[in-house]
Amino acid sequence: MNKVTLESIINKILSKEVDFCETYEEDSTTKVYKLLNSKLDKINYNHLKGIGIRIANNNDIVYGYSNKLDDNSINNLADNLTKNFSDNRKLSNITLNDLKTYKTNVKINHNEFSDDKKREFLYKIDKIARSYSDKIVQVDVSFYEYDGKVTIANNSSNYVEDNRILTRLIINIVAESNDKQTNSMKTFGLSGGYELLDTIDIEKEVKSLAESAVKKLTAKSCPSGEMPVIIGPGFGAVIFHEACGHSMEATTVALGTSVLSGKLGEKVASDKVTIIDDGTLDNYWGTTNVDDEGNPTKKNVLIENGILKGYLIDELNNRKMSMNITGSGRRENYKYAPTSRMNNTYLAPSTDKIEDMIKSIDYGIYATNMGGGSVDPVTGDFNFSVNEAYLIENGKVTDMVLGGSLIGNTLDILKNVEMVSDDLGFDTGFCGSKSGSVPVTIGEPTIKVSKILVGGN
Amino acid sequence: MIDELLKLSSSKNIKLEVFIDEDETIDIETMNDKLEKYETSSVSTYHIKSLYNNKIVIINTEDISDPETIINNIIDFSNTLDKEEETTFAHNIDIRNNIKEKENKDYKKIINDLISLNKYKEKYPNIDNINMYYTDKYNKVSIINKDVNLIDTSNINYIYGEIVWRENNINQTGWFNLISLEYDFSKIEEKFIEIVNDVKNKIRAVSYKTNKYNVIIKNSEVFKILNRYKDMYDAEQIRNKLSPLTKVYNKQVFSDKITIVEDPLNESLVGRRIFDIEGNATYYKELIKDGKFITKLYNNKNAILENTNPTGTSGGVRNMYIVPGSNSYEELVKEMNNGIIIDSLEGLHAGANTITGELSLQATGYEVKEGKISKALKLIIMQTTLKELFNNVICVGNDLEMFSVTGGSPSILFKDVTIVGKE
Repeated sequence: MNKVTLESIINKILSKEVDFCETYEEDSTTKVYKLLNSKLDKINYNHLKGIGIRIANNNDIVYGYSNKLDDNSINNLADNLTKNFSDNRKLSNITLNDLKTYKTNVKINHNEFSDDKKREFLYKIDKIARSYSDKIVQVDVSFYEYDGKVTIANNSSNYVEDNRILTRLIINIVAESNDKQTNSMKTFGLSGGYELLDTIDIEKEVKSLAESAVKKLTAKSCPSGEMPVIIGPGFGAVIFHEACGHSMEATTVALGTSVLSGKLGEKVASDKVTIIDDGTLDNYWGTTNVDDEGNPTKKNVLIENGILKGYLIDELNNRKMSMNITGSGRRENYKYAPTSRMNNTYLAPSTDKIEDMIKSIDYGIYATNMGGGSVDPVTGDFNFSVNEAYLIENGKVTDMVLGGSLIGNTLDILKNVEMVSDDLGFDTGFCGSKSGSVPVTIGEPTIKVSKILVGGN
Repeated sequence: MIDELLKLSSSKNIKLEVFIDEDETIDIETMNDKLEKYETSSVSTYHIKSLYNNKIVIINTEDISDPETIINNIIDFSNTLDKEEETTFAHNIDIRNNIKEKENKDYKKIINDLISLNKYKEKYPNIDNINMYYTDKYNKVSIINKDVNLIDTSNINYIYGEIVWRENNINQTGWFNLISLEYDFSKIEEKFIEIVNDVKNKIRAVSYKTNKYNVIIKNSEVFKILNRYKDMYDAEQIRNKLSPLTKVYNKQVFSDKITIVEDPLNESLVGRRIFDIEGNATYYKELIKDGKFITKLYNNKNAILENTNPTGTSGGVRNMYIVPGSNSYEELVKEMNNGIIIDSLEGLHAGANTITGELSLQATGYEVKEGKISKALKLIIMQTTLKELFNNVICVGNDLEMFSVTGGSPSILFKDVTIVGKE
């Protein structure tokens, strides 16, 4: 929509008794190139084009969305949304500022990396994996491309456009022997284009995944019970994403129901724990120039040396909490109203040595590759799965064990982080919550947790 | 625009059909005694299936204002794809279009109903927060190509409720889902009270001793497992070794007490659908019969590849459930005598491996001693595999309930399930 039309819709809404109005337009495509059975098997193409309108008066909020974008339909949407607000105007008409345009810093755009090159790269992965062992029976590998433009306008005259580009590589390798199947999976992604591939040692990564899938065929079951656990760098940070990240989002904090509500300034974690959420990290998977409310993203220190320092605050929860907005308002697409969410969340590195962590454990687990998880931010009870793990016996890493899951409670686990290494690593994922599924990066160095419940046989 | 798209495709020798999915929804969220959020939406999505130069290209789009770009994309993608395939397109089938208008509902009454649950705070002062969500979703699907124009409609009510119980500065949450063809507040209130009674016990929940136990998994949680594995019957997933049912077609995979069916034409169930996304008529079928895997699911392309017929399940199964047994839930508890009830399983997206069938899931529930519910349990893990779990069935309950358009389940009593706890 052009500026004049947007102003006219916003001003029509502002003639009612409302104190907040925002429009969010989205025009985005995702393309997935999928290789299966050593062939480029599918190209999935998805195009979204629609608008979301959010209106509030104090804490009364209405939201509507549609992909019928003719003027008449959008006016009907606005009328429908405002029908229960009185005519007692609270705000004056606005004129939108000049459009401020942002874009992802991209070196190789999706269309600059030809379909032939994409195919070649996918074939290369398939070949490396299958030549590792004849036990590799499937290589499922995909490129994911997102090209989206979002335009946000609101009653503060803000008018911004963000052109976002995301690229991701997903590798899933399946091994089989004597009717037993195992798999190993890894993803790589960035906010940017096919320069992603320059950051990956693909030979090493694919061999490592193939090796892991094959080794799992003969791995013992994971032991069970409460025990010390070393969690490897990168995706291991899902423990902090689930265990405390969600509990610091204003969605539950504003209600006072989060396990971390009302604890600002209190010691909630061991001294070793400093957790940061930073939506500004150059080209990270969870990075955006502005959030989905049009506010610039920021570096937010959430826990510093064990002390709770802040929460993630969006526009409307800011009203309830009277705390500064942190540029964390996010949504999957125009079909969701935004709320506070994480971007790139990581545990700051420290100085402990991995060998000292291993030596300090008589019997425990070294989880080198983690899967996803979930949390109840109200109780703080969380879980996450282990994709690859090894036993630690008498201070030494011994056999590979089949992954199980780790569960615990936020407040306990934050206090049980005993050692933190310096090998900070990052991984990419999608995080699902009230405003849909959004791309997030999680990062941590290797850590030792003194005790956590391990699920195994 | 669809006519233009069909004409243009025909002129380029592209076979093409469009499946249109139109949703109109009203979402209401209440928080304690006030309306927290009101949402309204109207969205159309076009699922375009095409065949060009023996390549199948699928485009999902919300914008068909530019048919030329869509056609160009189809040609580009088909030139890039390696695999030559065949498929068939919807043709006249013996079904009558199911066209019903959207039901008019009194949303003010619904808001007042949901807010009225706040009265339970007087009876139970430890209820700290009541968050209720209601969705009224009217859905119309149609499939259009040069031969057909099929239409099906549905109107479904969704309820999600969440309660926070606070005692001595400790929080406990309880939640429930309801899905129905008719809005019925009495059922919502009944479920709400059930959850209040659960959550006030769960605040004192403890972990448990690691061991193998007989376990009743409640209907909603059995369905979570069933739903996580809903694609495992798909012929393509099986062929590609991406299903735990690889190499077991026509073999006994579960206990003979387990029969899993798809029942898409059942008018009393929320997932009723008369044709699938490729225009095939849907029909009742047994996927697992007495524990034996007897039906693989085929879309048009895979049916040609394996020389069989499509199963009317393109786009996903509808009304899939485990056929209920004869015992009530209370009888299952009595039958178990000693063991554990699991009433919540979490983290299935990561803890339930859809290729290997491994299950390692955070759980909550209750200890049962001599047929009576004893203490509440939390921070326990159910550790098993899909095959192990469903081979160890003692009996299937009769409390079949639907939890999504995909399906539902009754509660089931299993034997010797590994439960990991802190003790």
